Amino acid sequence: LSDLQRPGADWELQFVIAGCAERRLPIEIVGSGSKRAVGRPVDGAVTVTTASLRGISLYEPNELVMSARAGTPLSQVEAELAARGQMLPFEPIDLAPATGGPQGTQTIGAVFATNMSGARRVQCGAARDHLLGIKGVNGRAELFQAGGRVMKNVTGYDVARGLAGSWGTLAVMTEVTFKVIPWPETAATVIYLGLPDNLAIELLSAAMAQPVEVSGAVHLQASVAARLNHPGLKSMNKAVTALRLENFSSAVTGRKQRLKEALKVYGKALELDHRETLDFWSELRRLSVMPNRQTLLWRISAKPTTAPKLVAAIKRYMPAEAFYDWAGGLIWLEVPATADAGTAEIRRVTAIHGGHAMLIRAEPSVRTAVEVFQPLSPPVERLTRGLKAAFDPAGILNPGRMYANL
Amino acid sequence: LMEVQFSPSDLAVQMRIKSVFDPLWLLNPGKVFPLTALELNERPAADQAA
Repeated sequence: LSDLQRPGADWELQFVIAGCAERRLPIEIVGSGSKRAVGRPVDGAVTVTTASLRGISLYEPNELVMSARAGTPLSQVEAELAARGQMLPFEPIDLAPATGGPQGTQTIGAVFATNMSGARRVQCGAARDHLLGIKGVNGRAELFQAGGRVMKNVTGYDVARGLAGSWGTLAVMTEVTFKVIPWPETAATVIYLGLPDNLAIELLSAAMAQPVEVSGAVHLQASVAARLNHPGLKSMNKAVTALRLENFSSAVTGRKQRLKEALKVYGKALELDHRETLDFWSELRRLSVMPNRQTLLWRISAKPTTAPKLVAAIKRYMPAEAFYDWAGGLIWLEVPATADAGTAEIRRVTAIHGGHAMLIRAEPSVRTAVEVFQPLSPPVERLTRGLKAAFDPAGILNPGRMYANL
Repeated sequence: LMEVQFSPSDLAVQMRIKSVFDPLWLLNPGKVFPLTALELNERPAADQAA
């Protein structure tokens, strides 16, 4: 069992990292540990958790900005925001239900460190697009800050953005500053049933082109839709294609009509009211349609237009069930467990159709043996190694978390 | 301005990133970073060898 460190202040974290750097001890960095089953396992001599770095350090509702210590639970951040009628724009997902981790425990630092965004990304952008600034400690035990508290911070490099999605391999964030938005007054969902993947993605693309500000565009194959909690949708035994509209009530009503008119060739639309809409999209945020089981779960970024072809191509090699998010730009794909996780076939197919694939759920032995993250091209790998050496020359921060030997 | 807004370690983090992409500091060398800071720090390119 590795030594667990819970620094409660920036200087304590610097002290721990300095000690490990000197002795070249690998450190596993966690928040609540809810994503330890995702990515490559880290063999750390020391585990550092940000859990004791917690609390909201600044909240300016009028400025739509919040700063929180990295170990603050996301649930606390969202509760503080909700009390003022605000929310995180990018709707971060919780991978824990799909991967067997503790649910609802993830920290705000981990949300940004893994850059995991949910359905509203199609409208608002990703987690990294809302990260205004950070404070953190790199592998040299230097405390540094990057960015600031305003969107229009034009001096210097946008280092905060670069750290989003680095999975703790470059620095340990101790504080994050991010942009927030008001809750919409009303939300509604328009649903089409029984469409094959190609028609469904065509529909979602057509919907995104309408001037109605679609804030969620998903397609669930019939077998996946059968796992929804919504009693009506669950029992239909049909594929579900859903579009979310959020705005003032008057705007949502008008836009719903406009959307249905534009999409009438795809059949009759069902509607979910405000309450049902909140429930439906919060299920998707928890990936409850991809429950934890002995199968593999892949997350594939694709070109929306070729996403159905990509899934069909993978199905020539193995059974696969798909949940499309981001109007087809993201595919959650469940496939049977195999020793190599179907890596060869899936990476070949994504290379042909254009896309990046990450293995989300698999046994630790599989996640150690195969490439979990999309392999880097040689020039990008050189830059990635250079950045790793610049931030963490001793290679002690989450070594091997993303790529073996890095 | 860079030295007002950023501490020496903030600047060092950014300048090392520049060194990764442009080890010889050939591209717009003084455009973003004050070259005085470059002299004060250990040659950023030397860090790369580590």
